[in-house]
Amino acid sequence: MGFISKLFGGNKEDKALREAFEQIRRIIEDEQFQLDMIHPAMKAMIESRPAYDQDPNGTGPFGFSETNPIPVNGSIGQLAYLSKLETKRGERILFHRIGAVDTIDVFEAVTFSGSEWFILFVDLYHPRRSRLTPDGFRFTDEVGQFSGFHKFCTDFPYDFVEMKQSESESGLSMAYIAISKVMEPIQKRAYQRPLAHKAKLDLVKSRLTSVQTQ
Amino acid sequence: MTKSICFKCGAEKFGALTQCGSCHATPGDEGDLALSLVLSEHLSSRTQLEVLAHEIRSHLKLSVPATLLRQAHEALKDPQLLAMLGTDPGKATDRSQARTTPRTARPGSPPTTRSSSGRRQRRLHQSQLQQNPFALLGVTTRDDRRRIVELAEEKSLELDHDACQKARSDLTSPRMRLSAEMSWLPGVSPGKAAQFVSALHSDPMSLREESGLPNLAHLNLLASAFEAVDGNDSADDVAEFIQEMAYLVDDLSAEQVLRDINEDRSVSGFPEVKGIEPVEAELSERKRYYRNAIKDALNRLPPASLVDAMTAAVDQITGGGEDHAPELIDDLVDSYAVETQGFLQKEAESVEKLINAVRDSATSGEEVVKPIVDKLVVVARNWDKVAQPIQLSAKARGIDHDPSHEIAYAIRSLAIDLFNEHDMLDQSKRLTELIQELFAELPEVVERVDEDADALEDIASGRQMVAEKFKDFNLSGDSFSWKGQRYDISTIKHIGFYRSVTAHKTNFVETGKTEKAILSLTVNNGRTIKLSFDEEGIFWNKNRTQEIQNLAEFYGYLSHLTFDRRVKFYEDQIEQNGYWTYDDCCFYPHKKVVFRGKDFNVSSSSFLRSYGSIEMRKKDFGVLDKIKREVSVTKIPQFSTVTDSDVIFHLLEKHMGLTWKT
Repeated sequence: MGFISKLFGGNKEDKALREAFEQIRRIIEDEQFQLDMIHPAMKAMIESRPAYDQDPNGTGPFGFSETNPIPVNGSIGQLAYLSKLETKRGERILFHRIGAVDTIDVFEAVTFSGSEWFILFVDLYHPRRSRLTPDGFRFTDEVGQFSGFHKFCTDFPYDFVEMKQSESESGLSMAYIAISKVMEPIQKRAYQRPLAHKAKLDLVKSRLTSVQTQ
Repeated sequence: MTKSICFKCGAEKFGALTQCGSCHATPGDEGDLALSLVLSEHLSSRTQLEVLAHEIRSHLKLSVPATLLRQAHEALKDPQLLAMLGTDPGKATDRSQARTTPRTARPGSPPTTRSSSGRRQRRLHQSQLQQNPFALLGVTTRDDRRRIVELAEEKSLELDHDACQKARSDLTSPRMRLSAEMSWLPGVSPGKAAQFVSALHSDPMSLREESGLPNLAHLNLLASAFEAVDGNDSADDVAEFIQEMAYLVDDLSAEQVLRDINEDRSVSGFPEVKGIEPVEAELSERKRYYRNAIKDALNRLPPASLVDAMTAAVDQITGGGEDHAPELIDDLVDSYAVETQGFLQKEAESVEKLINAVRDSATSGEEVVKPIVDKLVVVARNWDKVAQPIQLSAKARGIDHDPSHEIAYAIRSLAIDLFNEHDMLDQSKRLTELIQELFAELPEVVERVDEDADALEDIASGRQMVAEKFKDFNLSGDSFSWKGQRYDISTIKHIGFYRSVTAHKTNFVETGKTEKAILSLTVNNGRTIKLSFDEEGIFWNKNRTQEIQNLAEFYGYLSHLTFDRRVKFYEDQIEQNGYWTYDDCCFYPHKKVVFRGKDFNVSSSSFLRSYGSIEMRKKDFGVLDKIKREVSVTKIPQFSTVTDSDVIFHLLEKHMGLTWKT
């Protein structure tokens, strides 16, 4: 029995609670709702752009190159898309935004266990999320509760708890995964960037046109 | 961003694979990319980066550990990284092997590689790590006291009961537990720890390829792997292994160890370690253990390999003695110095005996000296080979290695004496070159011996030039030959040189000129040798201008070499008799010249110099005197200056105050 069905099929009859969960579901899954959450001017611009799964003129590996980014619907769409990814080994990812190369956002990601690290390129100026996944990924069957941030995490991913708490003002914190899902690897200090990943980070950081410090 | 240094100019930059802001170089091929990764904080400490930057800027060979390069090459297989670099996998070329060959790699020695496929199979059963209480009981660092007791009871059924109980006690007593924890794998997850212990058993050398481990855990694994080193391991590989350990020991952090241990203790329920002091005390013990593990491994090597491994390790890690070595290397060298002291002392005594033998036999000539010098060269080389790690370490630490100084100066002194006292230029040069080769680590010695070598080289090349110039006279060393006869220059007592030009006329019309030169040498036995060239022949004349010029220069050369001796011949007379004689005249210093019983006082006489002679006249020499001289049948008062002319003019000036304008 999945998380949502448990919530709605269980004994919780409280209407207010049901509404809250519905709100979470919409934040996580509803593309239009996600668009509605952002600034109208931004929304208008995004809606004027093409909706597709992959830039037909994109070059390079999908999602792994700034010249072939993943199209998504705004910043909430970024969180929703990336939170829905899992590796072929069934591991979901934690992520944070490290900056942008022109209009393409760059995210650093790591599997929940810390076994694999990635750098993903995402274009948020599209009305809907791509239905494709980068090589080595698929969409998870789990509820795609948010597992990352469109902000820079100074101590990624060890500061996940603090960053999640900081989202309480935006109203998104309740859409995030439970801390217990990543607490063990965080406590074990299991997240060690491999050398190749560090080298990639260096390269990407040298190309960033905008850098987020927090 | 990551602090890095440029692989080309050594300037600081940010990002390992980014463009250099100073020289604008961007690593392109795989070799440069791998090297650039090593030249970053990703793989090297800040101190190491400073050393590497210095090496690049000084155009020295880079002291890049091969293990780090291997890690870098492994990282460069990442497809996304290659895509970011615009490099197609498989197209990358690698020049790093040639650029970063360890400094002491001997010409022709094979590159050391360690791949799982090529690695020699060996197993470890009783290494220190495998006997650790955690390993013995199969306990993890996160197991609580109750679980430890349980496992100890279980293991007691299959293993030695006392050993299990001791292990239990070591793990449950807070004081003893720290020691067990620090000799185990702090900071490594239980699952990984089990894998490593298994690898230690089945393929201990594979642990050298591990990366990203906490330093103390890594060192404990490597120290145990060192127990698998045996006489079949190459010196180069052992040297590399030693360096891997040394760098890790230098990077050990008590704070990090404390953090790792307390994290596990927070899970296992054991009280946290308060304060850094007990951890630091245990770290000192650990360092002693690492040093002993390496020493034991070295002692399992054949003696020559042991020396080679030590030399290579110290040479590579100190950049030929230019940089400070990590603490572990210094400790190892100190132990090595103590253990080789007896051998070095014995060999030094042999060197001293041979030096004395050379001195004693020097008067017997070079044929006798050469074989002894041959032997001295062999023994000195042997001594130096063993002393090499100590010399390099001393240089890196900025201290003198006294025994090296003593031997170097003893050989130098011999080289100088062989030349100065016995004119054995070749043997002197051999010894000087030997010192330059063997004692390159002693800056002061090098400086002095370089000067000696330059001086000897100048002398040798000067002699070569002179020999070439005077090839008509077969000049060789201290002798020359003329018309098949060899003469020793040291026997020359007097030198005379005569050069004349004769004009030939037919019916008062000049038809040509011929030149003639005679070099007259009087040797010790009173015999006179004449070296002459004459252009005038019986039937026709020859052009011998060049030969005559060479003879004139040979005269100058011989005059120069014998000047002091010839001067002494006359000075000795002055000392004995109060005057010197020359061409039938007696010269009384500052007084007079007596010619056939007639005195010519210096103050009242004129000394008229012409070619080849000096005529003496009274200062009031009048017309009547001129007429008398023209009609006289007696010799005009004069003396020749053809023989020893350089010496005579020197004496006339010095003792008679007579000089002439030339």
